[in-house]
Amino acid sequence: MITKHSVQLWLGFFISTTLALGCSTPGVNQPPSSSLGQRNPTQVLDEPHVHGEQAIADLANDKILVDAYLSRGPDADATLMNEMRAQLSIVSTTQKLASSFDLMVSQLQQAGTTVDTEQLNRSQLYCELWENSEFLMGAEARLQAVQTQLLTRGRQSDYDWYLALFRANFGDSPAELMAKAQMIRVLNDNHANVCQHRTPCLRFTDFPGRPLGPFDPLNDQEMLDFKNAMLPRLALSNARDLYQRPGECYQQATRSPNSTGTFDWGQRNHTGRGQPKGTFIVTYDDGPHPKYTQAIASLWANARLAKPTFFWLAENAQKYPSIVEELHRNGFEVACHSHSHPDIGNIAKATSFANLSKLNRSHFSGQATVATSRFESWKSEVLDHQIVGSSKILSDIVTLRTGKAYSVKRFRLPFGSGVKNAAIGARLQQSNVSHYFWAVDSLDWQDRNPASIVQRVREQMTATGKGIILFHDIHKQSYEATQLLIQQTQSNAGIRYVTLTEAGL
Amino acid sequence: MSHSLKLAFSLIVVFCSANLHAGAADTQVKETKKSVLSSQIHSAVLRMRDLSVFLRATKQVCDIPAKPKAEVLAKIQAEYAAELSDVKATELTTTETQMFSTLANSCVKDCACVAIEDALATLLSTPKIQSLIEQVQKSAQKMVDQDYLKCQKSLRLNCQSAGIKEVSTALQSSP
Repeated sequence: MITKHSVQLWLGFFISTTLALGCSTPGVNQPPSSSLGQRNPTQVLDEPHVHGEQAIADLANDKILVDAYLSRGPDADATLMNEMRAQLSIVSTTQKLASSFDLMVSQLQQAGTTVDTEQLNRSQLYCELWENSEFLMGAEARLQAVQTQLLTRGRQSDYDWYLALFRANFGDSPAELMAKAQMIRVLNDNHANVCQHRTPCLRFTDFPGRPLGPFDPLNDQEMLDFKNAMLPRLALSNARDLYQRPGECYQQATRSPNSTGTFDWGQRNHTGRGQPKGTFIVTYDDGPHPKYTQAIASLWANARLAKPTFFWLAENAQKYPSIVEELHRNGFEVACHSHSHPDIGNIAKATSFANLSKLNRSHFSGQATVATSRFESWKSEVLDHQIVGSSKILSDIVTLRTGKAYSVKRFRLPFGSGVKNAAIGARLQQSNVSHYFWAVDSLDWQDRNPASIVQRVREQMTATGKGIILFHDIHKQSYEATQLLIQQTQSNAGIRYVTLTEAGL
Repeated sequence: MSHSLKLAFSLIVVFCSANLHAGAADTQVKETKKSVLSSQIHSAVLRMRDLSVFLRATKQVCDIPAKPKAEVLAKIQAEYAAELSDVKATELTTTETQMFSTLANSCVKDCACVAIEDALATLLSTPKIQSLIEQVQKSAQKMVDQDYLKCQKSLRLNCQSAGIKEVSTALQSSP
């Protein structure tokens, strides 16, 4: 859906991301997110303390000074300055990427062009930004630290060298000029430290800016030149790829920061049927189980095949957090399958407690007195708990036990019930998760015969040719069927197991 | 979910219920003196059995395309779990235990071994129940889809019936 509103929403989150990635230093007044949709690139630079382009320009030819510093050998100063150069390069490159994307969207909007946000999120540029965000935020912090260390020594030569280096990192394209302005924010945010030994302090002035004319990102030679010249690793062979080729990280790009708006069931409900022929992704539901989960994981690890994804119940994860931690540490993808496995689709559709399915009435039998007048709020709480809450519980278990921030990115509704429901979609959106259905159903919960399960799975694999395979990690027969499936298929050149991440899902 | 899909799911439930009652009729005639609880448990187990048969025979008979079939099977699984919830944590009387024993003895012929095992596993455990579980487990492990196909015919769970055709058609035409 292409709407101005959706563009603005998207712009809001993107620019927030941009700021987080690049030069979002505390204390810098950024435009409020509600107005970001209307801003133009030059407005960013109009703040009184962002000046001094001319000062940098004056040092444009001061290569002798720069070379002198760089050729001094491995002393303490050189180490510091090389670190400075490295971090400046990382952060400025990121900022250029962010600014070029930012500029593109701003100009599209100003030119009155409608923008399909889903398509924009497919761009390789955006994917690169998002995937590297954590690393780059660290780089920004390191840059600030080394900048302070260098410039507070009070030596004019350090300062001059810094400006020259700064200058050398940016060209004159609109995106690079924007990036430079954002970088200047970093310098100025350190104002109190940087300026303590000199008066007047550095002032940046006269950012030239450029008039914004009609802008066609599909045919913009300047943008192509920028990417090809400055960022060869990211260069697009065809500018049209920006809109037409789903980037590998498309789902990450769309799901992670996008917690507002409408959940797009068409794009974010996966079965794996879009994969290349012969590609299969194995998944397990309902665990973790103290007996079978680790045993199943070991089968895949020992076979050196792609590791499956586990869709777990939060209540089981709370019982067996060490299994969650172990599998996560060993590279298995941890996903959520609700808190306690009710029929969420039925809950979302019900209008009263009596209206719930027999399964749900039994599931919530402790709350059998929910009055009709209270039912909608009860329902809302249950949906929140089963989707948003359970995802958070799983995320928290991994985060707390590994000491590293982790956020569950995938969800599967119990019984696959509730796909395309708006109330459920809203919760998935709020949790920043995508939904995963399946293409191959092992029926392993119903079938006690491992050979029969594998036969069924292989028949469906042949019929569908690709897709997500559904197992459960709470049954003995599932373990045995997994063992058999691996034996029968690991040498089959026509079958390629991949993880959901490898599949770009 | 589209209106047609909702309708389809309703239809499949109606269809399954109708056939389940038809399939269970003979047994119910013989046990008219059962308590209300016994009837509920008995009915639930038979419904689970029929859902099992439907799940596993559908592959060969019903000719439902892959995508909607996954949704149909998932819906049946939810129905199965609903039936199971009727039995959960119940303490059986001697008569009811005997009823399970009778069902277990003929579970291969009726394709009821899995349903009985699942039901027994949710009941409050006793030595007799444990013994019955072991009995039906062994039988259940031998069952293959072909066995269910035979049961589907003997229980008259006809996938070619109008109900299933409507389900399949509705699911195919849903967005």
